[in-house]
Amino acid sequence: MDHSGATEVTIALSGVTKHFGDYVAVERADFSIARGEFFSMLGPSGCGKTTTLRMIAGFETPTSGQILLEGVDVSNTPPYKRDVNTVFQNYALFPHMSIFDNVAFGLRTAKVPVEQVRSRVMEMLDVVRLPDMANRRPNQLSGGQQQRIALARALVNHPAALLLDEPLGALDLKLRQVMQLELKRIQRDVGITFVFVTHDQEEALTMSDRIAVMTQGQVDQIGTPTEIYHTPATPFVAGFIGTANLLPVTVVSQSGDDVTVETRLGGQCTVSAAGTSYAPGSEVTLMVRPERLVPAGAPLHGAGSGASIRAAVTSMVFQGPVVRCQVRTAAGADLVAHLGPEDDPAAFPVGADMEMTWSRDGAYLVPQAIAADEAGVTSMEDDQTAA
Amino acid sequence: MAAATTDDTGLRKGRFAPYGLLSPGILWLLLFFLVPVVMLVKASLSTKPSRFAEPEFAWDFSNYTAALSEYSPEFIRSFLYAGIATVLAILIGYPLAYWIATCGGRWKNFLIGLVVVPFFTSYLIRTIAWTSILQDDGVVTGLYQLLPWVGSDGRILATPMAVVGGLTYNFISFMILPIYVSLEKIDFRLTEAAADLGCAPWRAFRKVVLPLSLPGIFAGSLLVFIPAAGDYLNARYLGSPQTSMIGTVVQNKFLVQFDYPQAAALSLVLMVIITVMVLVYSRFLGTEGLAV
Amino acid sequence: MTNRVTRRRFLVSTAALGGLAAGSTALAACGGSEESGSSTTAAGGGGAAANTLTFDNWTLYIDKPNDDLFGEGGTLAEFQKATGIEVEYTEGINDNNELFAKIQPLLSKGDPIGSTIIAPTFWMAGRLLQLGWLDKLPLAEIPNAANLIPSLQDPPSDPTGEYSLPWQSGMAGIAYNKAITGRELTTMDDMWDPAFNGKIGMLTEMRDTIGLIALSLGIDLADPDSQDYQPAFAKLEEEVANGQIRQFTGNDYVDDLEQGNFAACIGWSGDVAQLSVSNPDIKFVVPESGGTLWFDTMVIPKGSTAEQIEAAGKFMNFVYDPVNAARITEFVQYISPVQGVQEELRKMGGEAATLADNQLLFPNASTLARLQTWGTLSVEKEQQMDEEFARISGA
Repeated sequence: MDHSGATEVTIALSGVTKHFGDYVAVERADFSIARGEFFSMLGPSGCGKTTTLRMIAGFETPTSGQILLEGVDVSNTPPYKRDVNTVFQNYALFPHMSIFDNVAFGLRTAKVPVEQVRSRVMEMLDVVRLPDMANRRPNQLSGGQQQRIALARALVNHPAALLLDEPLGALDLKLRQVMQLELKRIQRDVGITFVFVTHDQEEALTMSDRIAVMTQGQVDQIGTPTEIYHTPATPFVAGFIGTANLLPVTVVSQSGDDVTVETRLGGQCTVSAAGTSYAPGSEVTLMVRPERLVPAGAPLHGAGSGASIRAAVTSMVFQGPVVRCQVRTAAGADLVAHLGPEDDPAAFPVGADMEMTWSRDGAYLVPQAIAADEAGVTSMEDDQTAA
Repeated sequence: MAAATTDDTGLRKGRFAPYGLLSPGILWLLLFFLVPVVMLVKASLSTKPSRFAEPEFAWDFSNYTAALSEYSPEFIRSFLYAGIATVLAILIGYPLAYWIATCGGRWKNFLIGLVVVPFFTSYLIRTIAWTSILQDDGVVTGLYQLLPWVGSDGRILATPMAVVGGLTYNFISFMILPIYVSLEKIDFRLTEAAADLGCAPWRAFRKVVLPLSLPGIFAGSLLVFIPAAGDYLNARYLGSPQTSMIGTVVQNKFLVQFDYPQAAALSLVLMVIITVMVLVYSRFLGTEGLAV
Repeated sequence: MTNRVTRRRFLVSTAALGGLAAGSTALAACGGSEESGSSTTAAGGGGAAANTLTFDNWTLYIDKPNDDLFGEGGTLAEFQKATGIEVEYTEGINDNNELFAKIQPLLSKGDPIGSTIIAPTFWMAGRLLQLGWLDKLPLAEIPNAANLIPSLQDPPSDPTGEYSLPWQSGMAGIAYNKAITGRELTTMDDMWDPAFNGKIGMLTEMRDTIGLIALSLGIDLADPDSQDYQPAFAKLEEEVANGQIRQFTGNDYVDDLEQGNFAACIGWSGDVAQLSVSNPDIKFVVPESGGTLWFDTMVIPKGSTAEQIEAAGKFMNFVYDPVNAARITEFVQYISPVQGVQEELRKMGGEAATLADNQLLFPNASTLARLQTWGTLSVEKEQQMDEEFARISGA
């Protein structure tokens, strides 16, 4: 329906809501996915991303709202009548069939002529680089191989969109990284729209053209990996994608693109408004990525005049490419700075008082307030590695 | 030094361990299968000089010819009834097992328990209870007589229908349980996968669930067919003189007529026929289903 | 298969054991091995102490067989009081053929079976006697044997009367449900009335079924080796083939009769005596052409010690005292083989006195005149008749 855009739309969700009893799994999801796009839905478990995918696949029916596939409303169409295919988290290969029969399953169901089935299956096994496995059983394959077969079984049908539900979750880290690149390659080769569900932000950043970050049934932000990383729409997005130091600030004044804010400690700094206008006195959040936070005196990352905050060093850990420096402000917020490998950890003994600085462009104003106890560094992943 | 000693005994044990490990199995097989079968074969080839004398081994094959020539109607009837009962047990048992496995939720164990509950009552009493339920003056028979082709003097008891029904009822649990177990093992996300690949529900069932539950159907069929083919109680209590099965004959030969040789011959013939049928059946169903 | 349900029915109706009631008729009907237990061996009579006696009998065939169910007292307790001999009483007999299958391997090798007294039906006792597996009764210990009713003295199964003493007796005749037949039945020909097609039952007990048909054809039972029973088998086969006969049953005929599955069948007097109390439509008649008289009889299989045999004699003497016999009759409601029981029952008064006038317990002279007891069949003839009967009855 939507021909106004430059790109054709494969999937469009408008006001899609799903309730399970009293529980709201997905609330008013509105977005569209372009043809050939690698689109990811990212969020912690329980955020509604899988439910959204299952509604697109047809395994769940929206409580309200519409799902358009190639411009046609499929909200109440059963899955077997939808031109989408799914790669399941556990692969769901048919254990009683050979690999060939698994891959041929959809074609045979669609009554594709026998000789075509043969050539298309073998072609697809070539695409996933497992041409010799046709006669094996699924349980004779490794996890990564099963993953590729699941992909082949879905792609061989040339669906309008391929839905992937945490397909790499069961693989070990190394294989996962290989498969990320492999998936991206296959997607470029076949040119099919991929809708990818994951809780792994790095995975989403690596592969996606666009990412929808979801939490608690809501889509917080949709954008390219760069947009989402550098200009998060909410404190949650800021914290979920990478590591972010968040400080609650109050807007003092705005002049043009410059916004002056004041921290809880009384210090003031200037940040880019990024096209938003702020009323003086409004509570917002200041985000500084760890790599933009540097000790006073070190060269600043990004242009613009600096700002600084005093803090005491609480830990200093050498991590190879970076030195992870954790400090605590007088207000009690923990901040993390990634110093370069050339910085000497010994120069900042634990307990030492130091001044942390950042540039105007090194900070970003998230137009939402956070509570005082949410101040500081927020990153699930960073907490894990630090532990 | 301690390690050396253990290694040493380990090696010595190692040489004989395989035989040692096998011996309980071999002993079991000898004691509970081979010895009884040999005794049965021996009895079947014996003669009795007089009715109450001990059988004497005599390579007498006439017991077999007599068994086959005189009792082929009973054999045919046994396999026919058992076969129909098995098919009925699948037709009734499969949907039930499927329903429990897919819709049972937290009631699953309770529902499976209900399937097993009849076993708490004696098999015999359960069979005889049917004579009350199906009695000529009863409600069930009354309803049955309303069928246009039956008429007011139609009866259920003392007919092949009652015998087959009794066999089905008595053994259906042996069908439901293995089918349920095989369905339980199926990852029902596979049906989602099938639907995702274009299968309407019935086709998804036929292509995915049914093949994956074949081992259960196979096991259930054997567990129903084999005891049903050798059964005599259902024919005795629910049947008529015209519905007697081979089990009836064996029981009478053994307990009333003391004709142990012929009873043994009949049992062996039954065993051999069932074994052949099972082999053919497993070939027909294929090892594919069993391999899962 | 002779396993009379009456003894169990009696338990249900008098002892009113609610929990047992549901299964009891069914249990009683079983010709199988479910309840037979292992009492013949468990009794361990061969090795029992000198002042104990082992007796394996049919179920519910004596008053108060155990104290737990029926309270204290009763024949067994009285006997112990009188003689100091404790009776290890077991209810292991369920079926004559089954009993035979159980004891045959032991007796044929001369081993004791574990019970000093057992109570097979007369023809089975006759078979055991013919096989030389019985000891003589210590008649010197049993002066009360003189109380045996004349009709059961020196029966063909024990021509000299030295090896057996009847325990209880009964009749086989026509049992019918008048609500279904709509009329009284008096002859075997009434059973073959086409109106009752598919509603007639026969007993799996060959002697009773063939006996009644043979009598209706004028064939005598007293000296069976001189008779040809083929016409009786032919008649039976004809009625099976034309569908007149619906089923061959054991005791379960009582349920079929009550439920209306059978209009009429061959049945046993004792069962009907009980059944007719609750259902007056159920009737019993000895057909005009005659019925059979059977009896279960106490015998002593070989292998018991002299002391055990002596104790057995004392017990038999005790139960042949009319006072003791009447107590047993009051409970089991069969025909007592002991003279004077009828008078004793009258003396007891109350319900017991009404039993004294029950034709099924004390048949009158004209009924008795129509009853015949099977003579002893030769091994070959019995085998041939059993096979023929099995063939026709679909067994």
